[in-house]
Amino acid sequence: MVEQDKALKELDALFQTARADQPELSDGLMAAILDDAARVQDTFRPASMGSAALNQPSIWSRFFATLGGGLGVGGLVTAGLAGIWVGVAPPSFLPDPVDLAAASSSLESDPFDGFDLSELMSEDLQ
Amino acid sequence: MSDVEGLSDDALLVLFGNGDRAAAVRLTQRFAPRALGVAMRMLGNRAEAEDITQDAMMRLWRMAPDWQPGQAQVSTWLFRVVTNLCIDLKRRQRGGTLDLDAIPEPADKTCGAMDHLQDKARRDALQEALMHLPVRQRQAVVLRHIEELSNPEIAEIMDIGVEAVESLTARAKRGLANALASRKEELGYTDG
Repeated sequence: MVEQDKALKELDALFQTARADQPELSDGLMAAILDDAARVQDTFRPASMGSAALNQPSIWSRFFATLGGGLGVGGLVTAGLAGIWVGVAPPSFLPDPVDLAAASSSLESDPFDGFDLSELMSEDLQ
Repeated sequence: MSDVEGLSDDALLVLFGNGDRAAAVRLTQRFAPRALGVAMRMLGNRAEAEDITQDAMMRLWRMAPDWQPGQAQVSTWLFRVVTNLCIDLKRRQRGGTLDLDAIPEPADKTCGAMDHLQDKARRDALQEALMHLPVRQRQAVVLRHIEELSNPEIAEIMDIGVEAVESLTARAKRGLANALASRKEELGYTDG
């Protein structure tokens, strides 16, 4: 058992020696590997650029996406239509926008129309 | 070059996929020597190991555009490719016949006094003993004790369980210890 442990310890020392002796790449192998890399890169570069161009979203689809996609645009359209409908045929508990428009136009008329300022002042003097 | 120096393996592979030449250089510097080291330990022949290394790196280049960052380690993937290529080569060579030119000659005892020669004798003796192991034991012990990978990493590379890795490594170490026992004196392990 002791002998076995000793043998394994010596083996560990051998592993350590082997670890310190990692091989270096020769210039030829390095060049060959990099040549392969360049050739492989050349094969997939045009393909990846083409697919990138195809995958580029149009300005409309980006605008659509900014609004929240189909759901967001659908909500916006519904809200817009509901606003128009409320404007055209308001519910009974809301004031009629036509009357409001008329009222606002009446505010623009002269509130003192029909009064004569000099007449009022003469009354005060009396 | 310095731009890619500190990048992760995943990031380098993505850059490589985008056509970055510097990423190819850095990945080669980072992985090819280790791949070559494993292949040399597995095959005991530098020329064959260089072919295997170039083949494995070629597979890495081709796989780069499909690499899923974070799903695996590049080193684990590469060691798996390298060791499988070595095993396939040995199988094609009819059951892993030994390359007699590749196995170093036993060290000359007259050179034992010089440390560097003794180191070389020890490395050669270890390589010779490794070449006599069954290929799976050799694979496990090289990855564990020379490349210093963890047992779970080796299990992933060899596609077996962690316990099986432990068993293979233990048997390999016993085999190596027995093979080297008769050469203890020659290798300078007589004292103590």
